Amino acid sequence: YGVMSMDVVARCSTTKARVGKLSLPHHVVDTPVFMPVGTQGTLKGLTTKQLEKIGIQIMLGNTYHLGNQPGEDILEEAGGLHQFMGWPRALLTDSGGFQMVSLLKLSELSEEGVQFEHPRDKSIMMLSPEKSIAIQNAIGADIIMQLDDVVSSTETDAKRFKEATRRSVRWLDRCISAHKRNGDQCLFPIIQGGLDESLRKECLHEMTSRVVPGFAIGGLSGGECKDDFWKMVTTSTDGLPEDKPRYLMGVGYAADLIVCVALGCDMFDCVFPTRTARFGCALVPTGQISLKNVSCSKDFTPIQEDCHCTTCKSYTKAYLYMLFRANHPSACHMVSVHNVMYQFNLMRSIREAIKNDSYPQFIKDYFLKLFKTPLSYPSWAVDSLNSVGVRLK
Amino acid sequence: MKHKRLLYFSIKRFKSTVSNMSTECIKEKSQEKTLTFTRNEQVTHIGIPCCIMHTRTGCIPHLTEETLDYLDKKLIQNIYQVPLPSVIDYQDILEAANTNTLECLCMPNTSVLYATVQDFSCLPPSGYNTNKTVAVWGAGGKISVTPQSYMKLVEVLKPDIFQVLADGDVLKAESRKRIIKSVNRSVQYLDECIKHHQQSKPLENSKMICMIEGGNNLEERKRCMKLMLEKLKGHEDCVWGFGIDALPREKYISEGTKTVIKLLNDELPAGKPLLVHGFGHPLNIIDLIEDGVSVFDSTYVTELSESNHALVYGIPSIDSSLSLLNGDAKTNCSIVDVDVRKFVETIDISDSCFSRSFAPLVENCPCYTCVNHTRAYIQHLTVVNEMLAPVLLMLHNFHHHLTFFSALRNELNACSNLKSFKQKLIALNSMH
Ligand SMILES: [Zn+2]
Ligand SMILES: [Zn+2]
Repeated sequence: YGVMSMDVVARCSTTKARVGKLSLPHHVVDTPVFMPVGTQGTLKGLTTKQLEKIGIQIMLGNTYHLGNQPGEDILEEAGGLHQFMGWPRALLTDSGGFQMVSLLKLSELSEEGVQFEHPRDKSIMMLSPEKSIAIQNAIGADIIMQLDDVVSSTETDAKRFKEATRRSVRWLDRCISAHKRNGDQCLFPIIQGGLDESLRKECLHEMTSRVVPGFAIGGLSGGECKDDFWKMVTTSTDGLPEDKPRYLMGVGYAADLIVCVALGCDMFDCVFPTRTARFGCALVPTGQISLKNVSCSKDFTPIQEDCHCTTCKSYTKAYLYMLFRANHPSACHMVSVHNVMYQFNLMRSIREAIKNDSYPQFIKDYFLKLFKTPLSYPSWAVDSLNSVGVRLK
Repeated sequence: MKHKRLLYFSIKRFKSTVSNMSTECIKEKSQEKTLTFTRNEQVTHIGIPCCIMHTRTGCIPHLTEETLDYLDKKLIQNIYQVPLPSVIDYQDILEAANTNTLECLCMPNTSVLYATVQDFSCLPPSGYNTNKTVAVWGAGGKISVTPQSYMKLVEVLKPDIFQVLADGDVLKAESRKRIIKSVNRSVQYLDECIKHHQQSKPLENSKMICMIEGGNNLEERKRCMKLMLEKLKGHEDCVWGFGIDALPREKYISEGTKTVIKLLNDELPAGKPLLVHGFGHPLNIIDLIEDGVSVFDSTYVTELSESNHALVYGIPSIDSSLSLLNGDAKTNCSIVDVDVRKFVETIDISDSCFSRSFAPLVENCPCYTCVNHTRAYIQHLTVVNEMLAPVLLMLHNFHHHLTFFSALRNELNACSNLKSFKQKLIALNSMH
């Protein structure tokens, strides 16, 4: 797989955490990495120059949305999404399946693919593995995802999970043969298996026997109980090869990121940091600050004193309070810059801690700041970290 | 004396030299055609015609300090307009900040601050003003402002210049009776504002802009001006300039509007700048300058960008004009003959005809947007309603609009009238 390589440059001697350099066609990405989500070829009003300045090395686009608008043809004519949106660094796209399940009415699921009915014009659309790959080939992201058979992680029918997992393996094979740009795009399978450990292991066995450049861990972060969540994550990383990146889909809260890095995951994405910015929520080491709250109205300090983002350099909480009260779009941009920077800095300090082999201490310090007292540590976090040798209490 | 208002130099200078300023004087010191502001011994020169940066709560809509920084510094005139509706709810915060307004609103500390009664990019609903109060709509709804409460807020803001409270709610074709009322009220407000200003320590360095009302009625405009000048007798020093309020929002200014402006320009004291809000169409700007207006604002840029429009008209610069004159462009056409409806100044970038246009908004435009993005991408952003669309449009439209103003200043410095500039502009941009 010439288009991509992952060099593991440091390992934590206690946990499964590692630091890597992921060489992609458009950029070298330092892992563990958090990838901000730019659904429609843009990230919440931020310019690509701002994203580069923050240090973002890879971001996400959503296949379903981009396939709708501007559409496959225009993206192809533009020379791909990189050209279209003016983003020189790495991109990743999803298969489109998840969005279709959540936004459209599922009309029929068959071996051929997923059929949907459009809510407005009632037209029927078919998303097959081949179709998903064709759109993703037109978009041209550095990393693309297989189409999988998505089941809600709170689904209770075990038979449905078995069917979906086995179908996802068959669809992976179809995606691999449909993929036309092996030279400059990496196709990731998505490990399924719901919350059933043996089913996950079966899926891991099947998918790791294919020639693929990296793996996504799917079917989680859908509202399942956190005890099940971390067990499935750790089962998945245990079954994955050491020399390939592991992308845990849909994770973005600080505590979750810290735990899942310890469990051996390398890549994460989540709409949370930018979505929450829109509503005036700023991320800080102690959790979140709601800038619409009247307690900020006379606070003439920046969101975070030691933050080097352009927002914290120029603006105070009181000023952001005024802008949010007036529904000023610039306020969203200001907080988005800070939040994207916050996630970026978090991941950078995680990488530093792993390189210094002080990651367990980093976890302890961060948790104490975030939760204030060990009494408020969530039990799933305590248990999961315990499983990799970090005793929080 | 068509251009006499362009002839004054600095606020300081003109106090002593108003009476004997001459065209000779201007040519000698053409570089001095500026507005001068002094605060804490820091002097700011602003060239005229000038374009005041329109803000809401001190922030240029859709931009941040970081993105505003993409604009060419040489184009930005460091004067910012803060409309009352965008700060009226935060009086307590401004007071609590215990610093100056610029610092509280996180604005560059060298900025000149100009407070206006309304936000000209989103005027309030009509019909809420009374004999005693003007309705201002803050984030929390309507607030009725009296001259006293208005001046108290101005004292909190401590702007370099501020509008005197006025009833400008006569934009539409109002009855004569309503216009008379607006003049009477505004003259009364002026009287109270002057009294307050005279005794105000915090405002000793702040100067007033008197808003002349009278709607589309020439007689009322005259009456308003006469009454205001009477009230101002002995207080000329605290007046910075005159604003012509409540001009109709026409795409091309009508002869009626021009008559009003010409009248005011002829009768108002020379040396005090004449100012209008909301105008931005290049032909209008030129006409207004020719009629004596020297200060404008950027609400046009905000309005265009928020309605998905991009400025695309060609700007004749002194250099490029030579080749134009030598070419076959119809520079001889009389301005009177020009069919202004054929003048193309903007495009609606949300139009699907741009979905496959992989060219920048304006070829060779050096702005951030044009260097980095295509029409097709911006079209896509408008279709999906993404926040980056107005950001990119603001950056381009600002660059374009301020470049136009800079070209106007150059032209006036070089030849002190805009006749040939206007002809070239029309020749460049008229559809045939
Ligand atoms: Zn910050
Ligand atoms: Zn441009």
